[in-house]
Amino acid sequence: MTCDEGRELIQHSIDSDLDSQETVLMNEHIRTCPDCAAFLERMTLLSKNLAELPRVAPPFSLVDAILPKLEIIDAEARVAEARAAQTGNAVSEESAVPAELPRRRNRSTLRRVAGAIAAGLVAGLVIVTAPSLFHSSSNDSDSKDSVALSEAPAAKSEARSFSTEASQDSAGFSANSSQSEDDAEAPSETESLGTEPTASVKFAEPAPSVGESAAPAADSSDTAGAGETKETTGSIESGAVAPSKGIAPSATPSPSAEATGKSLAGESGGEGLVPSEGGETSGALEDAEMNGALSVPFPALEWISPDQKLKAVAEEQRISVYSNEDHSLIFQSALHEGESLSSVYWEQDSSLLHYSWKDSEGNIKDMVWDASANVESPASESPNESSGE
Amino acid sequence: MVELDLIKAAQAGDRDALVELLRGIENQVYRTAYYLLNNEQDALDASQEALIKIYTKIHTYEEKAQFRTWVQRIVTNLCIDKFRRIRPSVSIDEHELVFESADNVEDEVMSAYASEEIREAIGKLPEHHRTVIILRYMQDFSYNEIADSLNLPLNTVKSYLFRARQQLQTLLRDYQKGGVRG
Repeated sequence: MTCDEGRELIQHSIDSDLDSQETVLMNEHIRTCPDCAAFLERMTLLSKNLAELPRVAPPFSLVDAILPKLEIIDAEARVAEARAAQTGNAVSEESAVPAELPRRRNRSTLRRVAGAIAAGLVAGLVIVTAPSLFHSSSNDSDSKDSVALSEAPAAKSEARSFSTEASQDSAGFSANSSQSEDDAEAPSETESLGTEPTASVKFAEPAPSVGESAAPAADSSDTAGAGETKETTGSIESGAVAPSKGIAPSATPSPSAEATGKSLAGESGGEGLVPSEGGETSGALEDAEMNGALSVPFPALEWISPDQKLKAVAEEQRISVYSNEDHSLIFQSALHEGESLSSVYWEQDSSLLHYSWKDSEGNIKDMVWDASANVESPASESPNESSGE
Repeated sequence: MVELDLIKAAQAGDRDALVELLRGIENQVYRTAYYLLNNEQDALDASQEALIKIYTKIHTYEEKAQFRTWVQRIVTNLCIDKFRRIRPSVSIDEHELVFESADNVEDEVMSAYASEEIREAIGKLPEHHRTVIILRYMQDFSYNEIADSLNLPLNTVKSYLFRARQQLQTLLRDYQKGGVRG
């Protein structure tokens, strides 16, 4: 054996990568070659020293340090996807995997489904803003998991079939094919409500106080509030099932938002249901948008500022800012007829609210509202656009 | 939750799972960056960048690879890019010449080296040799795991590792001699 071969074996032996026969060969060579014996000694020592190097750790939690950045990334990804969907571009690679299933659905189905989302929100609005109009139902249902909300009597029978289905299919309708029951039953509501621009009305505005008032009714009611409530559940679930890039967005959650979500959606939908929580609602919205449901205006959504003091609300053809404490109106944009709102997010320090309007020709106007001055102006990247103020 | 479950949850869109997953790997990411870049601040920057990249690319991870080798591939690539920006003039050939010529002198007395000296010596290795050494000793990777992480053939990994150890040994011996001689 040459010394080169011997040293090759020695190197392997340092990594415990010799079989017994090779070990014998190496030892034989070392016995007859002092240089290689010294080499083994040196390598063994070096390897030991390397293995004993300090296992350094960062002086602070790196993950904590990047959390704000991750939230920005989530927000940007949502914006990018919403825009890509609006312009009909291929969705980025990131979202391709999780969003694949829902995107296969045909467009007409999607429109109806998205319409149903809006219809559901309207129904939710009516129910939560006027709880006294409804009574709690003591009717049982196949599942305690079905949408828990006081119901409209007229919708009862329909509601049960939906709620049952909702509770059985944890994935919501995203796994259903287009001939499923929700398609068969949704259209009447969808067409009358879903295409109506007022579908989003001001759901989010009364929401914070409603969560509590509606809660007792929810406790005693096992059936769904209305047929379209199930649609809401299913749709938003699909948003949760197929969130953009597999990263569940989480914008500033607020207790009121959660209460609202619960009162609307009951227990069947889980966390994907909260319509007034920025991040998750956006997930559902994106899903609807990505699936071609662009003719439907935004359902009412709200974005609570990072300091929890302000609340931007997407209303019909405008965006408004309310105090998150007393819900008083602070700012209301001009009406943007035929335009869609997107890319809504707060600056980290809550000083600025960013949002964009997109008209029917696809032109995007990026706007910014300054909280301290209460002034809306075009964002710097599109200085030639007017604010519409 | 075990790592595999966390990965699956994270890929399914569970942000909390993803963040927990990142917490589980932040030390190993930092350790590689620290020894590759030989500078705390650069290591902090690079490892945060790597964690962000993992966050945004988690859906591209496929189970056929080990998660930890996938993670190390991301952090080593980032560090190598960073390293090249910091020290663009260093070439492997330069190092090879130095090491080849010094490799024949083997008359030194062996002793343990201070970790600071070792770290400095590692910092003088060509980037691929350095990376292989760090994955071998700081991550306890096998030849195969190193090959997966760096997307290199197995034999290349062994060759880099063996050569890197010889180079380190030479550098450290020179340090000691320098120290003794003042």
